[in-house]
Amino acid sequence: MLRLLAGRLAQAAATLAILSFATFLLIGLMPGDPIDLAIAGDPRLGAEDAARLRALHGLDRPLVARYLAWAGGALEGQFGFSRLYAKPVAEVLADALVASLALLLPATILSAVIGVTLGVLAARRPRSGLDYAVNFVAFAGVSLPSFWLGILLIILFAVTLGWLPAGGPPDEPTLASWLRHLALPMVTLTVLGLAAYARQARAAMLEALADPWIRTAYAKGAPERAVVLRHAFPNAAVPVITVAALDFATLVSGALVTEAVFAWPGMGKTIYDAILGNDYNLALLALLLSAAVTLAASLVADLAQMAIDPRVRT
Amino acid sequence: MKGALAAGLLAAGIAAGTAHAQQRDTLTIGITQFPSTFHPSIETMAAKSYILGLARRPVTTYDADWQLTCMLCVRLPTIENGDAVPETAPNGNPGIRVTYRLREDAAWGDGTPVTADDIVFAWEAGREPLTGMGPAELYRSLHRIEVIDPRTLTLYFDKLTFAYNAINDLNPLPARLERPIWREDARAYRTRTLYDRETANPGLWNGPYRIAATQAGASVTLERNPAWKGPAPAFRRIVVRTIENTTALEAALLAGQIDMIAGELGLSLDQALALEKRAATRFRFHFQPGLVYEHIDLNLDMPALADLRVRRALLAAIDRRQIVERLFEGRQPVARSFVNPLDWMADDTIPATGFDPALARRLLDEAGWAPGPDGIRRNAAGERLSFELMTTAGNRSRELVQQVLQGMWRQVGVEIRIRNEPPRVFFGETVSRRRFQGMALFAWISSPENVPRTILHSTEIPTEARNWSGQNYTGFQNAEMDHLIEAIPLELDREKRRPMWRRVQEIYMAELPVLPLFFRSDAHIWPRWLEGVRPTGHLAPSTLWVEQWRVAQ
Amino acid sequence: MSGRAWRRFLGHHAAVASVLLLGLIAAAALAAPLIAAALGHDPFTPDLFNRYAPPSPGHPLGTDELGRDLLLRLLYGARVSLAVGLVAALVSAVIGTCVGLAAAWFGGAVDALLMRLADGLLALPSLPLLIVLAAVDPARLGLPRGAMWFDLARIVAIIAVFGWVKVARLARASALSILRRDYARAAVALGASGGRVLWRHVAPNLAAHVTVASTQTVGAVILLESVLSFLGLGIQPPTPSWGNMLAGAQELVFAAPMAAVWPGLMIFATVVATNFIGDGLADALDPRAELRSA
Repeated sequence: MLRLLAGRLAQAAATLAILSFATFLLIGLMPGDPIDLAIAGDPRLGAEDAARLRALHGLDRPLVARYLAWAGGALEGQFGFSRLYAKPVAEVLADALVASLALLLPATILSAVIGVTLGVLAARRPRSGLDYAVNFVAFAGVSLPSFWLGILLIILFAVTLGWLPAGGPPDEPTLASWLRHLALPMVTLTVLGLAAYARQARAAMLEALADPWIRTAYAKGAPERAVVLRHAFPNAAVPVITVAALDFATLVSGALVTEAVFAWPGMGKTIYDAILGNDYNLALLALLLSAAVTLAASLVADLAQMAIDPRVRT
Repeated sequence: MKGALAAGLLAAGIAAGTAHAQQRDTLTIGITQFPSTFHPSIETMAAKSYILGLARRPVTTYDADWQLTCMLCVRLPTIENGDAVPETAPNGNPGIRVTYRLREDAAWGDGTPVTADDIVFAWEAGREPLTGMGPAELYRSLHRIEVIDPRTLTLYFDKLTFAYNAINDLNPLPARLERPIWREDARAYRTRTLYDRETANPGLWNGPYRIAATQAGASVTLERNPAWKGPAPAFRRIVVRTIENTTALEAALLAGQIDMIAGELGLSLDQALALEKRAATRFRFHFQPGLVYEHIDLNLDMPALADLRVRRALLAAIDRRQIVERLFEGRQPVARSFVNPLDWMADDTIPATGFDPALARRLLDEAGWAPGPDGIRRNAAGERLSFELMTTAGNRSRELVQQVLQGMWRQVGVEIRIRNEPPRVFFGETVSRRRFQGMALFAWISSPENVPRTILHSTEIPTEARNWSGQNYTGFQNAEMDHLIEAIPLELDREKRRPMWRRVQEIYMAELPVLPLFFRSDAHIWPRWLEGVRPTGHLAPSTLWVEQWRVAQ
Repeated sequence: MSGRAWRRFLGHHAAVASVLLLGLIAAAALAAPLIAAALGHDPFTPDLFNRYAPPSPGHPLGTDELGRDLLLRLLYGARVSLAVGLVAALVSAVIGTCVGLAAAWFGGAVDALLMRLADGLLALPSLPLLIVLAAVDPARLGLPRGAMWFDLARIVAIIAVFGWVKVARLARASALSILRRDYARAAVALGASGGRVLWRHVAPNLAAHVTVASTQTVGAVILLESVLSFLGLGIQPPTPSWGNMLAGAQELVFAAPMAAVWPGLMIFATVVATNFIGDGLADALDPRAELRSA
């Protein structure tokens, strides 16, 4: 077990190191110095201003030198200053991460609960009308463009009915305000996410229910609910947990479209702004953080798998 | 019994009435950007300028009538009233010394008065290149400051132009708070300034409001500044919310989450016009034409475009009036040249090339471009008359205009290939290094009576040797224009400048290095109960006069 | 597919309906120039007098923000979106299959390296990296900038970077299980070359599974293209694609919702259809062990 953990940690470190260099390179290939953009926007800035600002931000050194400078600082825990937010990068990301978690944890839990329930219900009656309906709902969820759904929800609940705000972070640090502002983005993410859970749960349940052990239990007269919950369900839990862990990790950076539509200041939106704003320090740390979360999530998923199902050991 | 009931109802009525009036003590404004820093002199950004307009005042500024006016000074120093005296600068050039007297009641939010020392500190910090404040030219030409008393100071400039008394960009900074930070390490000042570390510090703000709280990327909350001695602003609290997606911004307005949308940073004109049709009873819409000059730069290095007849034909072939009518409901004035019709020196008696497709075809025939088999013209060598038209991707209005122009030019046999890039590429590389193959559609933002040195002077053509500085992307070279550009700033008498400006416009409209399109209008959206907002149409935001905004009775 | 598999597929009503739907969309997309000629206009010329017009005989679905026929733009957009979807899925499938087969055949260090690479890619946050890749300036790498074919090629390439992984794992697992069987080992012992074994024995079995995975990829690619266009990084106007039609219509979604509803609906219908087809195929090929998406 320890050897597994050590191995995975070493792998993770290597992946992150390679990723950091690759990303630095890619961002360097992106066009448009932030300084050039500033010059274009301000008629009073001239050539000397440009040269001065470039030197000030260290943008006149070659790419590799800049990367090594960053890497050196990073190993000491200094991740630099965000050009876009005028704050240390770590501070910006801490806020963004909290905002993301506040949105994603409830959304993931809701998706999982609703999705699994639907999947289990469908598995009990394969090929029935219910099965098709659940399939369709699941597919619909995964086929909707997220910004389309988001805007539709805004039109319905915020503009027409006026029940909920159209977006943005909570106005006051009260629970009520948080819930009101979280509601619509959470519903969007839940609808989009429950498909994966429904399908996984349905597939796993079907396989578990086909097990001869289960048929024996039925033959012995056990009630259906008991069979499903106590015997089939734990077997179905394994792939669901895997999906949940990976899904959550993906959402950390991948919910950016939803965050953009609802003006929710989470990790996804921060990454996007940083990448397109040529904010090297912020983009790098944000990407590394998301990758780290994904790696951690997959490790958690594997460990959970091994814990629940002793037959699965790598 | 009845009496008590009546009294009770009356009291309730009064309470409700008062509550209604008190309900309007917070104003929520929606904008589409969030500032990357709150320091007044580091990095130019429209969002920062808008928010800071509520919380700090510059010494001088251009007002809504495009006149220079005093904000922190008592009166504008001029040569006529003796506060400004021309003299010879140490470098031998004609210079000027200008004396400003600061208002008695100007004070920072912690009670400290705004003094000459605050301007001296700003100047010291700005002169040091490591600090990162701009524009460099201002701090360079201001070579000496003499403090006469805590409220009076004389600025010595080493050049003399007609804008000698406009120090709009020289922002006073609270020396007591900021100087120790700057002295410790000028290079790190940018990351340590209280403006970003402790934005809610009252000592940083000298306007009617002070910033009380910020939520990065999302909102800024401002409260009344107790140290403000000017007219009391109507709202106890102002919240500025950033929603980048304009559809979501519109939804927030309709849902009541925000009260108004700032025109300087709000909905596109298309969106605002559509919204006006649906919500005119709830909101008031004001379309303010501004100093944003939408135009098409022509790369004069291309042989086809080097021919003046071709350029005139291109302009004659497009019906700009129809575009403005159809796409913008006539709310954006067609541009004759880069000079805005609201600027005092605009001269509309100069003959201009209007919509005349017959003229366009004739000019192209004369220039040697004969219609080809597929409708596109060819010259004697068989080359097609085809250009690339580039603009910033994601800007709906510009993309629409592009596609309409493509259709109009096709009618006279010119082929247009549309190619768009994100603004960073477009401005950062393609335009700034003159790599565009034909036409570049974008906007210039300027100030009242802005001399077009960087865009029209022949020494401002970006080249590799000069590190790509300069904004004369067309490559325009005209000796008379160069001479006028150099002479106009030095002429202090406005009436003497008038014929010089007329000549500039004549040359521009005759030579057509650029195809003028129109001036962009900002769409301001206010609730019916708000009055007193006066947009300026130029870079100074309407928030600089927030103490005049009122709840309608 | 065997006869039994066909029958099972045909019994899957939703999948069959989806095949018909996709066929209809594809046919309409191919026939777009004919429809354009029949209606008498093209999807590219703006008509400023006719913006956001309601449906009429000349414009069956009305017009868009520049007066262009909405139906024609949907059909031409279908060409682009379907082409990107199919080509990207195909390229991913080809690369993935090659990688998976190589890993299975050579085993050992090659296998370990390739699978590590696959795991590494899965660990990365895909959407931000796709954005980074889409925002890269090709001119800095010496590639041409701006041509439409290049835009499409670029999107396909970017998607393939992440898309091959799922297929590779599938291919590897499938190939390994077949290569372990007796007839395959016999063939190798008799001197058959690697290529021959792979082609005659592995590939036929593989094809079915890869097809299923690829069908689902088509839907995901179409959605991804719409996200990239929404962010301004996908197909550039005036070339219509469903994604950029949605992005263009969002500003005026309150005033003229249909310009946004139609492309959204097309994306939705196509993706749902591909998902159902994939599901039907999976069910038809192996009804007991439902293929789990990796």
